[in-house]
Amino acid sequence: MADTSQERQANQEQAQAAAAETNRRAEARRRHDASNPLDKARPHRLLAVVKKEAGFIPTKEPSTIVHVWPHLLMIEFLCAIVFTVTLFITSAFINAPLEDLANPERTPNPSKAPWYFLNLQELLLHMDGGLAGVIVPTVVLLLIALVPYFDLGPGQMGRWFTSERGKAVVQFSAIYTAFWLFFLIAFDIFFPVKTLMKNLFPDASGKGILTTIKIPIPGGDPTYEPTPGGMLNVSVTPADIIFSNWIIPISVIFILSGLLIFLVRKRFNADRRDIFQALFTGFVVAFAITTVVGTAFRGYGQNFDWLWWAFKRPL
Amino acid sequence: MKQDYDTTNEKESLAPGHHPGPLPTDVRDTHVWDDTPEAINRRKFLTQLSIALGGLTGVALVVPVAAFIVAPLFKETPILWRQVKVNGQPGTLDKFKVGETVEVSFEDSSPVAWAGVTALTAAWMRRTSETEFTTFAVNCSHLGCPVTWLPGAQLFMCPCHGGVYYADGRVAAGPPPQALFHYETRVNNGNVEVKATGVPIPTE
Amino acid sequence: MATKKTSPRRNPMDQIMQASAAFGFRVYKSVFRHSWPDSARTRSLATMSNVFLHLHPTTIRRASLKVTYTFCLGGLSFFFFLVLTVSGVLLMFYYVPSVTQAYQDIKDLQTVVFAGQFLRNMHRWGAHAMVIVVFLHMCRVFYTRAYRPPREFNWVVGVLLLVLTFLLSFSGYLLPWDQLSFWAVTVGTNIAKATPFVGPEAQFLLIGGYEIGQNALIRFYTLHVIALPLAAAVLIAVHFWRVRKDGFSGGL
Repeated sequence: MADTSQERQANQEQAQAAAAETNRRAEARRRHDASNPLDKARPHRLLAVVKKEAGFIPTKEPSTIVHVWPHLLMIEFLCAIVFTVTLFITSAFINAPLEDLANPERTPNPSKAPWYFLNLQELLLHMDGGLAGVIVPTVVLLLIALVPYFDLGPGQMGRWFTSERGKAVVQFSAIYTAFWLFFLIAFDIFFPVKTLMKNLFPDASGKGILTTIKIPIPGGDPTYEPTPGGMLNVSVTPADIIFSNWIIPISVIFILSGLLIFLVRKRFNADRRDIFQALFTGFVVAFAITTVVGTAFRGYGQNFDWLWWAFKRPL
Repeated sequence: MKQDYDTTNEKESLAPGHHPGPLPTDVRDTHVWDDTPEAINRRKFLTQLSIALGGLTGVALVVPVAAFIVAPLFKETPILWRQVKVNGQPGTLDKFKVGETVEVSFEDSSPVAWAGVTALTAAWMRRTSETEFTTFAVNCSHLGCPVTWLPGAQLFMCPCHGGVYYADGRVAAGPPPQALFHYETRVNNGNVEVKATGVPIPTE
Repeated sequence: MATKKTSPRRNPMDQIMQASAAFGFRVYKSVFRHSWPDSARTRSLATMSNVFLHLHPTTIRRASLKVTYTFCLGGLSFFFFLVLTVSGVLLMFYYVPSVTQAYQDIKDLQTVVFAGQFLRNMHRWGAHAMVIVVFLHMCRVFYTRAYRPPREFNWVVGVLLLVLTFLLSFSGYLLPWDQLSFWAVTVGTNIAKATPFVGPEAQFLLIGGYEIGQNALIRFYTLHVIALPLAAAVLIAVHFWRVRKDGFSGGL
């Protein structure tokens, strides 16, 4: 496809205009610099002497560099102003809650922790207290802290979700986690796992075979009262509690995480970074949903209550 | 897109001493400022606007904060005439004999003056004539220990450093630098009242 | 030929104005040591020679400035930390951490003290905002993968700061000594009791006894106003210093 001479001329004019603009800008820059003779001084100093191989050798002149003053500081300034004004207005019109004087003899029902711990309180309803309140958060925080030491695969940083595939993985994981979480909470409301387990092990609560283990004491006195028959009684958590508070919750966590990893690998051909993103998204979504449910939808006796939020729990 | 440093080469970037360094700060700003007169004017205007905005926000914050700190200075402690109590009974005129000094108590503002909380304060009250009363603060003018009235000796004694006062509050002996502090007192409809200022005033 | 300089006598008012302008400029220079930042050199000096601004580098990639990249979340976390420090110090003027006085002091703040309610609101809402913003900041850093080498350790410092933010907020929750704070902290510390093996001991140390009382209040108060803020300040310093050394991650 050959250009007509007219088109060629138009292109030429365009190029000339562009060149003129570049020249104008360069001239503006020159004049700007010339306004302060000190600008010709080197704007850097020697800060440290490092080994040659430790130094940073730029492969090319970065082309998009700007001064922090005013470019970044302006953003920070505006951000600070906006949030100062917002906080000012909020504080002027909405009062912090203050209830009656603390009274250790009058326990409110429900008693709730601060809202950012209500996710843990929600977990507490479905598993052992130590597991929900200490082990799960500690392990999760440790895993989060360790992510950078294991996310060593290729790929760039500084881009949201790393890639289009990453974005898809995050969206999928968010929906996956939300679905399972709502399902699990609903399941536990309609079919309380603790009751199910109790029915499954009718002997377990109290005096069942798994409640106490008798260990023979070598050379023990069969007539000695505290250890009748020369046996040492070791009390053990009843089987129903072990299942409902430990084995089932832990299995659910592992199976659902494993299934998520399997699905994103299968569906998106996810790499390691994507798997980390999937798991992290699972954590964030679970954190958000349990916080909201624990804050707004748990009423009297920590039972599920559609309307509890309407009674406005102070934050 | 070419990177400033290669993040894909993990071996290199993880090896000690081979961490990719920060961007060098001596690179010149490549931002080209539009310095047409309109642009300069706009920049000037926006600069002034930001300064005004920042100033306004600063003032909006500093006013409540500063007022929070200095407001107690302008808060007047209410001065009230309060009826005294003698042995827990309301202090009416007939409870006092002329020339006798008795311990009384009355409600006064607590040390946290802005809180509006009151507490009972003790004082020594002497009926000097049919219509006149003198009320002394219990605190010694030396270091503030509570003084005791000795009816036999007709003296106030301070237990801490041996300060002694006459019945009219003047210093008789010991370290006190001045007479006992006193409260203004009046008789109102047969009730004996003192002016509770929170801070007693000197006698002399 | 000596020609006398015959400039017209200047107006004394002008002289005063000029002298004060010169003096004002001297004072300005003594503080900032450079003229208004409008050239490459003075713009570099503006960040370099200012103790607060030199948390920043002098130049930065334009891509790092994209608001849709950072959403200002790290800066906002620090902003709320400062707001909470200032409002918290002011609240301390009136607050006594004693079970007999604490509640009364909060009531006084709300009713008698000028702007007391306002500052209490600011402290409360600012604390909630900080918890949210710090959490979102962690999400932002994760999803942009900004923890890549050499920033791994700074991510760990960030996770510690998240934990400290929770603890700061939680320790402050008890201080008003009302029903809300009392029972929230009772529930919260009962979670600590559930720790395997050392649970009751952990709870005992945390609240200084078997139930929430004066010991718990003074412990939470000390943690809230001194111990945790100091720890947070140190970690924030480390966090910022490493950001400064490693550069902003955006646009890499």
